[in-house]
Amino acid sequence: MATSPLEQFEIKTLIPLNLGGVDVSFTNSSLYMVVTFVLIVGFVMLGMRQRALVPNRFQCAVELSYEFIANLLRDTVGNEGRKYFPFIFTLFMFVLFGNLLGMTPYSFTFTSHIVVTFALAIVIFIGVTILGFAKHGFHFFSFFLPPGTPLPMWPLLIPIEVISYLSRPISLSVRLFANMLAGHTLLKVIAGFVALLGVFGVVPFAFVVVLTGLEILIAFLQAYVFAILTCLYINDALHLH
Amino acid sequence: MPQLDISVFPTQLFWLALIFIALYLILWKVALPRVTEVRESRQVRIESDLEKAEALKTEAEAALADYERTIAEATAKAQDSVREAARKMAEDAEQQRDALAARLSDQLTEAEKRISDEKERAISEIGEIAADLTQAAATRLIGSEISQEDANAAVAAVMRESA
Repeated sequence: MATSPLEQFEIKTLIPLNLGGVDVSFTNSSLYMVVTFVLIVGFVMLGMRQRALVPNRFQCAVELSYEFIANLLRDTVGNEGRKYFPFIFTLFMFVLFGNLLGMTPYSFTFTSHIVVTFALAIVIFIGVTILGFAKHGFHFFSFFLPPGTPLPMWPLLIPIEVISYLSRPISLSVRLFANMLAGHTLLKVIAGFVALLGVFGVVPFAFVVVLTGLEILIAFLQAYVFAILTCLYINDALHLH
Repeated sequence: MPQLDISVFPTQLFWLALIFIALYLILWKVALPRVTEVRESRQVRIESDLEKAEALKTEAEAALADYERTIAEATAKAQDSVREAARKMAEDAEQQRDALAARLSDQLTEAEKRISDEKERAISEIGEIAADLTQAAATRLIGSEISQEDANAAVAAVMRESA
């Protein structure tokens, strides 16, 4: 019972697999990614099964998520952002379902692993940088100099802008990872007190209930932040300043 | 901390890449087009319905204008008919009144003529009767017969006097 609150983050191999000498075993993390995949595809496909002109509640939920991301993209990037919609939608749904799935007891949260969030962030970072160069060529470097900066400020501002640009994948991935890690650890720690305090365990129990609600909010919020920041990065690459 | 265990990085990266790319492809190529299609067809339907409603509204307005014009025409026609009928009735009444008046005056004239005839006849008969009475009275009073001519003359004289 008195296990470490970090035990929930452990990767457990379910089916050992080896690909060219690299360990790519099917783990609990992989399992929850597959479940997330099935849930998202099921959500959209089942919801749109009837393709009704007047949607039922299920179809409404699917269209609502579609519209939510479409509006997000339009508000931040504008109409040129339309072609990035499938990617942003996939990203948002993947992170959201991963986060929410992690809220079920005894489950595993793959977004609580820095390697997963950093991989997503670095792909976004590299993709956005390529996009910026493809669109503006070497003019893209002007992004590191805010327009109207006086010449004496250049040596100061350019390093700051470059560092802030390079730290994007770190902040993007650490934000999601740390939120998930901290939230789940806190829940586990407080839940541990429930059994320890006996009758007075109702106090931490009530706390856990409230925190669970908060965590569900954070699960949604972090997916939203992840998606909106990606949109903002795309916007920066397309429009510079 | 399990997050810092480098030995489990490859498997996570491998499955993340696999699942994420598969999810992206399915959503991009299969799932999201369905949503787009439904939303577009709904948009088209709403627009066509609005257009249809606009057309129907114009039509209804035309029909209403038509109806109002017909009503106005019918009202004007009805008023004309009423006026015409009133005029005709007044004319007829006048004619009938004139005819009646003419007939009445004819009858009056005739009646007056008849009365005056009767009167003349009565007056002439009164003369005769008076003459007869005079004759008879004279016979009784004076015991002798007087001639018809004398009686008549006497009566005429008296009548002239009293006239």
